[in-house]
Amino acid sequence: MRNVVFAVCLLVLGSVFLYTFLSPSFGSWERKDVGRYYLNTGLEKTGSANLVSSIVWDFRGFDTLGEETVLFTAAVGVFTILVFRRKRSG
Amino acid sequence: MDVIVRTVVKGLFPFVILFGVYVILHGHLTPGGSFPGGVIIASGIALLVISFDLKKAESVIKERAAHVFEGLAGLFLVFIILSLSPLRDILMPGGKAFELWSAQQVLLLNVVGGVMVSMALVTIVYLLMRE
Repeated sequence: MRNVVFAVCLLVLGSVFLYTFLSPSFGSWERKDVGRYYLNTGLEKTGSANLVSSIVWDFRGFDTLGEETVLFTAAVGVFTILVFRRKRSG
Repeated sequence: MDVIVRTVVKGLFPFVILFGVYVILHGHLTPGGSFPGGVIIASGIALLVISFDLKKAESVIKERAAHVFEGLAGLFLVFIILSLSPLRDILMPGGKAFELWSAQQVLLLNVVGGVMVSMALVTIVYLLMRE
């Protein structure tokens, strides 16, 4: 039983490594359409000279909304933990 | 902290805040934006908290005000991003590229996001220093 589990784990790990080595290297994917589209039309579509900013706040605004939500949740979490502990102790 | 650190911080503090505001406002032109700019502003407040005390930092911005600004900025951010497609024509009336007044949508979101990031980090700094 233990040997079977070990063999399965080894097989999965080996196939993952094999997949990583056999797939095209990072940045050389065949479909670069999205990146090329951003580079070509980013300036005229958003008017922003900083392409990173235009992607972060314009093309992928919902991603950034989630990012800000994470930050907000962190602040609210710290607030909750510390204020409740202060109330319990004092 | 001793008097040397306090004097240096007292002179340096406005410039730290100014640099943070600059990074936020030029987020659509130069590297930077709301996250680094907000962190710079919050680190200025943290410098004040460390070298002086909480009272001195609260004379710049109170803890309750930081909470309120953070919440309002977050609400405003959600409103803007969720209503982007109908508001797009209002928010982007044009403007020349490579100038400060361009890319109004990115500029507006940078400013609002910078307020939110800086106020969230200031809130965390205050809360942790009170412990």
